[in-house]
Amino acid sequence: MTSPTNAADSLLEVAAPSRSLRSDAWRRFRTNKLAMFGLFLVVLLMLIGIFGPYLVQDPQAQERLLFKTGPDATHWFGTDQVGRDVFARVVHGIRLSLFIGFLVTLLETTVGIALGAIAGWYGGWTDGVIMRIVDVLLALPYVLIAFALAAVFGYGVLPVVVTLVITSWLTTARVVRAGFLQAKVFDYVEAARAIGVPTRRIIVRHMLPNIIQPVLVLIAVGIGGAVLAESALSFLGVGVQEPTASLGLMIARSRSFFADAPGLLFFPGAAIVITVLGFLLIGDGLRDALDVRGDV
Amino acid sequence: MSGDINKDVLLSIEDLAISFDTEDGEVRAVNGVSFEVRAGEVFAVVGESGSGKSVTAMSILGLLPAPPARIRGGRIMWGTENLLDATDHRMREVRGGEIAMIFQDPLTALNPVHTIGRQIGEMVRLHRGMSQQAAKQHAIEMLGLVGIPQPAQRVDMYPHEFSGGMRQRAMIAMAIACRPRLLIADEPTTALDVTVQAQVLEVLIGIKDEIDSAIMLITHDLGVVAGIADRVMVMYAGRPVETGTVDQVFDRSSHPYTIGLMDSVPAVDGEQGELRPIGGQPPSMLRLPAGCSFHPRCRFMHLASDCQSVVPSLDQVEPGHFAACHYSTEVSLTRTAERA
Amino acid sequence: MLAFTVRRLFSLLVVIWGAVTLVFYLYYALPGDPAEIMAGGNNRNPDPAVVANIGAKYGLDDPIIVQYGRYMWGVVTWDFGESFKDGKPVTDIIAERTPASLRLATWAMALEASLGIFLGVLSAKRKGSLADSATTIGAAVVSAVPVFVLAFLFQQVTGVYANTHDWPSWARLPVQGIGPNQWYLFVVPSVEQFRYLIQPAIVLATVSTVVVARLQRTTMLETQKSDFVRTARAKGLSEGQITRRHTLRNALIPVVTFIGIDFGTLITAAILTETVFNWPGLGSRLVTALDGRDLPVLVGLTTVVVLIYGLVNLAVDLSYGWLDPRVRQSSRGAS
Repeated sequence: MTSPTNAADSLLEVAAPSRSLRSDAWRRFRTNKLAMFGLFLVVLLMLIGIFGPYLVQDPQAQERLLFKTGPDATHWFGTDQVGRDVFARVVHGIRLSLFIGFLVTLLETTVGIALGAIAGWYGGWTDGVIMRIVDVLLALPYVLIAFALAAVFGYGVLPVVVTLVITSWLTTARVVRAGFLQAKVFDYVEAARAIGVPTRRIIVRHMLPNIIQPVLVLIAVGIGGAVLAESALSFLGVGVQEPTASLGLMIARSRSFFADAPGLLFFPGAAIVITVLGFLLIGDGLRDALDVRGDV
Repeated sequence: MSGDINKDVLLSIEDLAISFDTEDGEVRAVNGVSFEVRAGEVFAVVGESGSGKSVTAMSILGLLPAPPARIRGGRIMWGTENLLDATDHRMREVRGGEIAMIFQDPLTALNPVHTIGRQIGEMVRLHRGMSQQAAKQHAIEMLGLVGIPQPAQRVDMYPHEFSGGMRQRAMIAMAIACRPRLLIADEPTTALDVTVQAQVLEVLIGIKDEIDSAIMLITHDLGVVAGIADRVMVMYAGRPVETGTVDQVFDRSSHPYTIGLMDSVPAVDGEQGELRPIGGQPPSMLRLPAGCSFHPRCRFMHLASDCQSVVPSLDQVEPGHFAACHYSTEVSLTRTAERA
Repeated sequence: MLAFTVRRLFSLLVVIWGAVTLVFYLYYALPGDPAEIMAGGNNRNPDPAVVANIGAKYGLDDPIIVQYGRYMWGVVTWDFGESFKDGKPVTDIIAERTPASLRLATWAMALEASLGIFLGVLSAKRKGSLADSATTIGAAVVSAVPVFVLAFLFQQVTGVYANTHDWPSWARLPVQGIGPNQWYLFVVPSVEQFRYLIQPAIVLATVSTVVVARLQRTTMLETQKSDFVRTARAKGLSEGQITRRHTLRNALIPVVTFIGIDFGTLITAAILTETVFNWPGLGSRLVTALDGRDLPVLVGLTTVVVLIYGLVNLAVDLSYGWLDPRVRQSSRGAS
């Protein structure tokens, strides 16, 4: 029948935070107009990113004698300084940004949760070491890490992703660690340990629910942050290189032509802003929707 | 209250009714409370959580957040003025200067980033215009009054550097800094160890005499009431159900709820009869029972009587002793018989 | 307070040592020949003879541990060798460039803190009002714009556009550079200098002002619900007194901590801002060194940046200890 562990665990279930939080939170999110607008933007951009590249012109094709033309019927956003279709490049740029954003966030969240949980749960020396590593990594601007890795791997998506993962897991780990430190001293967790519930079960059933809320917000904001960071790296020349269409790169190249063709800056710039805005609004919405404590 | 002509009535609450407007509806937290606090006495208000005792106390100083709280009616007479009509400026004079309040958890009720001395001094600098130096001296004096050792050193320490009992004493010192005529103590000992509780209660009594003020004590602990109170009011579901002197209410309980309370508390002196908890649950304040709020749990309830339809009023049982029960005489007699 | 300071200092030294070692590892110990990197410049196939020369000159053929020792010794004695590009001692470059960055960063942080806290307190007070919602939306939009785009747009509007469209002279700001480089007391600019300073400072500050404001708003609203605020009210204090002496004083704590933590973000934003505005600080020089693959300069400047970061963190830690008395006593190892 039910083992003592199961019985105790089901008792603890009663004391643990309620799971119906999810439906409440969704309702609150749904009624938040800004958050829903953010969701709309993100879905729209994802559709563009996934399907767009199949529907637009070749972003590398250079049309002779058609430099820096303004928007018209064939080239909706005009052409750039070497005759490429800006609209196609923006669409490809969105895909690249979203791809990097999601990939980086997926990886850094995994690493961050793992290390943060270990640090928070075991405490002591393990915690100290992990936190020192975090401190050290925080001290270095990611631009320099990107450059160093690019020297090893060659420029491209790989050093960008690796750099951003290395520098992003730090915040996630800190948050998870804080959540674990807090939850570790909750009565029901101490009770579970006293009864002998296996560690893994405690962590999964009772500790993780505590950190889901802030981590979800971090994920949303993190994707936006990764998009910004990738554009900054490309802007500085340590990210993806020509002729790949990256929004940051496009902006960097457009500076000298701003007087003639402001669109070369505005279109990719607007794309970045809309993308990041969408994720930020979702993040804000999640924060408000998941805040159990009150109406802040 | 009509009847006695008491020239030293400090505070008189008349028919106070307070509601909270929440998402789920109107919570009628206080439903017609009337009582007096007289100079120099310790007046206790007893009840479970949700009985409305804290809400009543906070409303005296106007500390309830105005939405969602709503005063439905009644008067709070401090001397000849109705505090409910007082201006903001007047209320700020009253708070701390004439009526002071101490709260349940001294760790969270004190500001962690200011020294104790500064927080006590703040009182006299605000209400008496004292200089910083004079205020600090006064703070040291107050700390001494409440029995904190080495007050001159302690005055520069922070709340987290004090033990629980010391912190509560410090909060008392802060409250009495301006010699208020009335001190409201909201569950002052609940967050403390039992041994420390007795000490803090002693301090309260000593202080009361020292600065000649009255104490209104909010608590759910009957032992505390027995220890230091002169008169007591028992509240249930936002209404007073029995009031009188401690002897009257404890020895000659005339309300089923009071009796239920008495029966559910173990006697320390060894004369233990059977412990009898009060059956049932406290009522939801969103939907109070019709008639007497206690009737669903009352073991004296008579079927086919007005218990279920008519709200009993506070009627006199003996001089100074009132109970809100249709059958208080019967109840009281049955009780005496049971205990014989 | 003293014990607290000492502990923090020690912690800081460990972190600085770790970061400096990491810099060394990234540039000299990772697979990939540093000599090739430097020789290559923008050329992917450097002349092997040149590579060999560089290797010899910088001692890059020595065992890694020797190189590390040499490097650490250089850090301690403040000698980072010479620029690969022009042979200039890196320490000279550091001395030249650091003041401009420090001045910019100081102003940006001052703006970020004062504006952020002020806006935060204000929006907490007017919670739910139209102004509150407007600032939330505005804040989100501003956060979504990349720093370099914002910088560039500022330049265009107050620099180029203002000039071509004849705006009044006070609205026209220089597009780039540092101008006369006139400062009093190290951080106070002359009036002319201010005109060069203000744009990059504002741009750099926007990155974090928004976040600070939102955080301040949140902490204010939460702190207002505290028990000690209720006690303060029960003492008869006016709402203004309560807000200043009790609510704000406590709500500042997490915000000040955040400003310190955020300094790292500021550094990266400064690199971008200095580049766009051609502000002659460490950041723009770093980018030049990146482009030119000038490893000695890169490493030297990075080390300085790490040191500055460490010191700022220490200052923030200490101010945290000063702001929150509870922290001073207990032995807190990990943050």
